[in-house]
Amino acid sequence: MNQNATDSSNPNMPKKCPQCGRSLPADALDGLCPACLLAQGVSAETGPEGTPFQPPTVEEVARLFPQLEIQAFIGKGGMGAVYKARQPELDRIVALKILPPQAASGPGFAERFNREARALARLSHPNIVAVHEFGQVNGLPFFIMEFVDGLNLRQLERTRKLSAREALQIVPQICEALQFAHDEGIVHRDIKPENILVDKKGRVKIADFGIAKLMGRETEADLTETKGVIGTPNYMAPEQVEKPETVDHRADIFALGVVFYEMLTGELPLGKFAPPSSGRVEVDVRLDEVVLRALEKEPQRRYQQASQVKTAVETIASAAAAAPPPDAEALAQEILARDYVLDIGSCFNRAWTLVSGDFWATIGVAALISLLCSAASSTLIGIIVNGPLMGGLWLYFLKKSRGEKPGIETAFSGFSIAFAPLMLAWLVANLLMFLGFLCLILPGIYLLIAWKFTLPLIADKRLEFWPAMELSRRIVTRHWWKFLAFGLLAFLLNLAGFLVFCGLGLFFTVPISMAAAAYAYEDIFGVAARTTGVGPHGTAVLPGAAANPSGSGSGGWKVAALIIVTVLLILATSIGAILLAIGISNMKARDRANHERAVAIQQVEEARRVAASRQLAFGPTIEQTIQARAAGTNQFLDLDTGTLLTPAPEIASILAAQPGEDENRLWQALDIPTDSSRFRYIAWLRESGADLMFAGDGKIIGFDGVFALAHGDNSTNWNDWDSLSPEQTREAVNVLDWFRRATEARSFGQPAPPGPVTGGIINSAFQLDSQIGGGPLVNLLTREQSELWFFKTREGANGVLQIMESNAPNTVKIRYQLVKSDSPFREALAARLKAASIISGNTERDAALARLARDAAKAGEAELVKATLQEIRGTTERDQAALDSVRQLARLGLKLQAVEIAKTISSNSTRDLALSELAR
Amino acid sequence: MSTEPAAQTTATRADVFATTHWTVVLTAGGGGSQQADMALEELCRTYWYPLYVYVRRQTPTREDAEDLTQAFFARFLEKNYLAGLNSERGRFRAFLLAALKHFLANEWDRANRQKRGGGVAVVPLDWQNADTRYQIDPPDNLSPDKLYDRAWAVTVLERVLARLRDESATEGKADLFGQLKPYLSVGKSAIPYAQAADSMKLTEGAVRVAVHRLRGRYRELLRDEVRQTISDPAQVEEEMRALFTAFAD
Repeated sequence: MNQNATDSSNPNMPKKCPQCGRSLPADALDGLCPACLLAQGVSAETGPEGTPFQPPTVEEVARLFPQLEIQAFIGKGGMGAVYKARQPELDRIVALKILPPQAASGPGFAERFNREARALARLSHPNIVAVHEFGQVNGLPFFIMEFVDGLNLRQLERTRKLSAREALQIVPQICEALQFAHDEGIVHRDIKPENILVDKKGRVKIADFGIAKLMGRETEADLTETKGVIGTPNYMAPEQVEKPETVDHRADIFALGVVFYEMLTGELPLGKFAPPSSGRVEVDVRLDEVVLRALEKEPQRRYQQASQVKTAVETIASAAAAAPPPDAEALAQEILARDYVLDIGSCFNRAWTLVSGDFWATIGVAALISLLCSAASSTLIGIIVNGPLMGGLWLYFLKKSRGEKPGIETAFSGFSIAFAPLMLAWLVANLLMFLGFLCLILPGIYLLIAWKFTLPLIADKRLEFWPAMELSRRIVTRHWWKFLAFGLLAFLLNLAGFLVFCGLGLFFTVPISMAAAAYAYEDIFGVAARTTGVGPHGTAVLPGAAANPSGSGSGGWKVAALIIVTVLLILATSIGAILLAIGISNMKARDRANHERAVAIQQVEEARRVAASRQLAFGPTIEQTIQARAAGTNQFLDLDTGTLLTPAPEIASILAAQPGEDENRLWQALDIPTDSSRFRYIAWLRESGADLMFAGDGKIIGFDGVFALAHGDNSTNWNDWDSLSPEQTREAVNVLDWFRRATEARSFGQPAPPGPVTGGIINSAFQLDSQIGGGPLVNLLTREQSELWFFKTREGANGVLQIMESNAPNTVKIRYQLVKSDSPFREALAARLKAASIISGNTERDAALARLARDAAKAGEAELVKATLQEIRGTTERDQAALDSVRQLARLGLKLQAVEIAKTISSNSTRDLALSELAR
Repeated sequence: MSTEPAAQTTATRADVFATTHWTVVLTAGGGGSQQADMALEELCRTYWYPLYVYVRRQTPTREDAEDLTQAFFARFLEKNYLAGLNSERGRFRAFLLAALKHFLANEWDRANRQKRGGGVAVVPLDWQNADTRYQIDPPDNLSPDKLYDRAWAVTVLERVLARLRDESATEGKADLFGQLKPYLSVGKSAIPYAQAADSMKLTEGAVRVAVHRLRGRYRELLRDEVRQTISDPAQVEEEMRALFTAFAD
């Protein structure tokens, strides 16, 4: 039956509406969609609070108002759009309200607008938003008004539920504004939460006075006309709806009643509504009267003046709201004005009763929270949770002290009640307490206790964290001695608890301390409430056990606290002083030891330096070939200088064998009397400094010096030319020296002087001494006996020589090296020794030698000293010279060498004296 | 003659109390006052198309539909249908449909078929356009009642637009109307003010104001039109919603 419109004969496909998708009717409505048209026609363009127009953007407004700096779009007000702007000339922030253009339509608008606006401008009241300017621009009516930095009542109600107390603070301000306006003959007509502004200081300001009339929004019908859908929360008085022409200021009072009701209950008084007090406990029943009377349908039955409402409300508020406002300042003033009593004994007594009465619960809760706190303290979580945990514990004990029955959830309620302030307070208080500990002087101790009540103030009275801290501090400061005593007592109690049963006693003492603190809090902060019977938040305060006000006790506590503090201070200082003294003496002893060690080290260093200055080294290796007489010329070698010497012919002739004499008698020929003409040979020997001679047939003759060979034990290597060190050489020579003297002493029938201990075997060269006094000592060196020979020359030079292999029978090749040390005096002294040793007269010679010995000792030439001393014939002189030399050497720090020389002293007493002197 | 002054008096009285055509008709009570007749005629002249649509839906051919519709109107204006149909008296739309149904059910059989071109054209109807429109209209599987309602709604809207156009023309804003017309069917948040301002060489603020005014006036006129067909002004909302639901699938 239907004609199919989509058959091919139909050129036009059915169009669809881009908005709703329905097919469009053909050739109708100019292509518009009827459904959409109807939808737009049926729906209301405005919501309950919306403006009937799209507010212009900030840029548009800025263009319309060049004289203003438009800063931001604040919102759509009840009738228009509001913008935040700045007047540059006056440099003030204002609110610019633009009304919808349709408001400007209608007859007589301009005239009405001006009239109303002028009336509004007369309203100068702190609780009324002032109108600075008004006018029309581009068909848009506008007002420039006072800018209120805050929220309107609707926004406030949305963000948080207002308490009865807050409502009681707002309503009187509204009443004042209304009364003022009514006295000026102006009715608001549109009182509603959106028009009631509350700034950041809590001041109430009514906006949009009289605009309703201005806009022609006087009747319900007008409203419906522009708003459309009915269903908006309606603050209009009944007569405003039914008989708008009879409306007077009492309509505002009705609206106020609606607003008031909404503030208290959160709902509108529609139909059969319940009185405000029935919903919430905190609403005073007397307020019911006020609200209900304001909401009377008949204007005659309502309050006739806004001021009457205000009076009624304030009467109730002053009676009921002696409950301390959440203002810390007022609270503090109250409490400080009344003064308080802190009876420590009573607090602890009651605490004991409380805890022992409900033992397991209190112990358990306190233990749980404490353990959580300490567990959290070890991590960073402690920073966050400890404040709320402790706050909850305070609240638990507070409630218990008030006789309520808190559950364990109360102990955790710190998180839900005031998480951030508790956390902050905990952090800051602990920080300050820590600083107090660092100080440990009176201000520090003060800081320890000042914040005691911060947490309960936040948890119980819901103060902000800094006001709570300040309040606690101010309260405590009043009688801070007592608090100190309180704190000390609690501390001692907990200390005792800690010591008892290895800390388990704490589980008992901590709840007692907490409970005592809670009672103290109640005594101080609860007093204000108890006198009027209404506690914080309008709750009924159950009377706890009253504190015994004993003023006499306070003085005793003060003294006790003073004594305890003094004792602690003295203790602390004395401990400190003792520690300090110990520390100082330790330091002194340490210093002395250090000093001595330093001195000893210095001395050793000195000796080492001196010894080092006498660093031993070998001189150059000198090789010489010495010719025997049989080869023609008899050659002598001066070991000290390394030069070959040839005697003069007449001396050489002496050495020549007499007819019939054996060539080997050479060394026998040494027995030459000094008055013999042949003694010239001996004299030449000594003068020339010759040390060695080759007598042929492999025999080397060493004169006056000491020639010996020494074999060390396995550890030494005295037989190896290459590995010999100068020290070893000198040591060997010392041994040899001693050996010679020992031999000499024995030959004189005297005991051998004490000699060096050596691990080697000493073999001296075959020696022959001259029978005649003054003759040289002769040493016989042969290669068969040893290749290496240690020697010590007449002049005191130490060295070692090696007899090389030789082909020719009449020459011998040797190499030797002397142990050398830098000493500028040595040569001079050696020369002097040489010279002195040939002095003929014994006495003179001994004297010269003694002088020389002393000089050598002064120069530190221990070797020369020894050599010189040996030359001294006279025992007494020698001993004396030795003693002097020992002293000299000791003074130079050459103790070792001095000891050696001391040991050579033949006289026992002198030797003992010298050695004892050295031992010091 | 003697009735004229009476009629006039009645008419004057009717003027004071009756604001809508239908009210006029109803208050006249079918007494055949001149005013009432004129009102009824006016209504019929306005709303014949939905009737035709309904009839056309029922009849296979265009000629039959035309005949039927014409016959109905003749009968309707002739007879006094008002007395019989009490329940629909509040709304003319419903009343008309009920009358039509009644007519179709009962009186067609006996009706004199009006020969084409020979019938008394009580109400001048544009048959040609009507059928064209009907043909083009999308073939919904809708009940005739719904078709009727939809056609009724479209008719109402047509009249509203026409009045708007006329008003704009008298204000000298015919062009403006033409440009802003599409925004009548668009949600207010979807209106591209900036673009419109650009194309119309106006400030955005001016466009907003003009659009707002037009939409407001449209709504007013729409309500007014709807109110013409109902007796109780409080039922405007209901009637409008009823029309809107005609488009609900």
